[in-house]
Amino acid sequence: MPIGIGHGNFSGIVSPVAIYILAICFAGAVLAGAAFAWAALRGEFTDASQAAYLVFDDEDEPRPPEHAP
Amino acid sequence: MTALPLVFEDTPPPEVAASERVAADRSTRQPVLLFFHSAVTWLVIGSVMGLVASLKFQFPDWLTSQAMWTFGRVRTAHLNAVAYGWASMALVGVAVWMIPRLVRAPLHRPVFAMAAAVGWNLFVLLGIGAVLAGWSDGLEWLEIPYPIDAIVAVSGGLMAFSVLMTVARRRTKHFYVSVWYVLAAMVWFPIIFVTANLPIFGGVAQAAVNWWYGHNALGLWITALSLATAYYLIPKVLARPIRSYSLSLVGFWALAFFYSLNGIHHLIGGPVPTWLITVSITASVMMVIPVAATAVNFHTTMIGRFGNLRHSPTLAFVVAGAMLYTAASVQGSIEALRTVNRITHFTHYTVGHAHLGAYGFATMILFGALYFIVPRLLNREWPLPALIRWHFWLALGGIAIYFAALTIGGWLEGQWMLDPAKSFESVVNVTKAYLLARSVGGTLMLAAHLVFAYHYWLMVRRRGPERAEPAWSEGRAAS
Repeated sequence: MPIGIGHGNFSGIVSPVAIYILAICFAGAVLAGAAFAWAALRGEFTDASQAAYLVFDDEDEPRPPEHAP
Repeated sequence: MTALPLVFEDTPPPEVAASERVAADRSTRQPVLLFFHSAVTWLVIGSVMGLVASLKFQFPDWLTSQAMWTFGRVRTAHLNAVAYGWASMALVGVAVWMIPRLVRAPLHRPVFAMAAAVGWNLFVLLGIGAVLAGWSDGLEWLEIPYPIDAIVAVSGGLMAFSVLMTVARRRTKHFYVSVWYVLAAMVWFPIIFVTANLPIFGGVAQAAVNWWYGHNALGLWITALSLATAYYLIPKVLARPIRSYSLSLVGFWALAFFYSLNGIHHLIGGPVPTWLITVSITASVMMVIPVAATAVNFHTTMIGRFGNLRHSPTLAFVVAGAMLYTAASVQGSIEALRTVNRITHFTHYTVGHAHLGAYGFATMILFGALYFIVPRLLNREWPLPALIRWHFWLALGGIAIYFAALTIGGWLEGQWMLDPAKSFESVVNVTKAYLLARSVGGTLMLAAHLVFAYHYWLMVRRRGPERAEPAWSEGRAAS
């Protein structure tokens, strides 16, 4: 039985489940885009190398990055 | 307890950092141990089932009197035990342990993580029981019946809530790259799991959704969490930051953009629109970008420090896993090409590739992670370092034999199947020696897991000698 947007002119051409998948993917894409924009706006990508040191804590003695030979 | 300073501070004073780290570790201890105990148990159960399935190629009449021991059910039980029981539970345990340390905040509501671990175990137990009893959804990676899937949906939700709220209460300004991967995995996995289990798909759409899920369960869940672990452990053990932090972010975002489309390459030759498969092949090849970014970063971080592999079990396992990640990913990109897939499709070659990724990459990194984390949870060093060497070489030797056998045997199988002059019986015969080698490799891997499980049991039960120094650390200062 056709469901939702599957009615009408698209009935039998576009599967209703395809519409569901597209809606889910679109929502996911919006979510991902929003996450990326949010990260950029809060300065996550500026001075990013500073974040490399977040892995260290009081257990460690991190040294500055060394250039590969 | 030291008063916490201003929020969003990446470099707190040492005494504050120590206080926050202790608080973070204390909050995660119980749930992480529960995840790890469960994971190790499922590893052994899943490995036994895998070996039973493999041995059926040598002894086809063995264990055939009862339906639950037939190949179709045992092999499926193996997949679910190792994918959802071992890998997922161990990776979640690692993530739950890592995140509070990386964001310098205690785990939010540890009881939720505990409940998630209990629920996840129930899901795997009931799911494998259902599969062995013959109740299955009949879709690869989605065999567990969807009423049982509801348990893991709730458990996963609780666990994701706990982790996400911990990050929301972070005290760091930036996210470390491992946090990116964990956050993404916690969002991606519920989306793909719930979507793929909706009972609304049928026919070709079901096949497409099936492989969209199957490949993303590896790429957006197991791979994401495994890379998060490697990005944490390699700099940590070396006491040296990752070579290029910016490159690590390129790797993350490139994986986020390209991976989700990969799965449809499993349907090459199937009744699926050609454009859909072509898009998937393109995305599969584009995966070279995040893989190269990650491989270059790990390698250049390791340069000049490879000697540490002799003195750190964690580094040995994780670096081996990272190298095999590169190998498995490049192989996957090549395997997705139509000309190659024409030969490898429906052969043992694909099984070899899957094990290179799930075992050589993810499981090896997990072993390294457990060797690093468990001593910190139990405040005790591993009692018998020699067992770790046995574990490492049995696991590495096992996967090497397994992969080589199925790659060569699978390729021959594919070529012979394409030759109309060859009978099906001759195709079966040409694979026999390689399938025997596969069982040998599987036996070595099971032996490795038994050694590891025994050592883990000694560790948890506080048996065996008490050691003051970390395993393999002898002669470290001199080297």
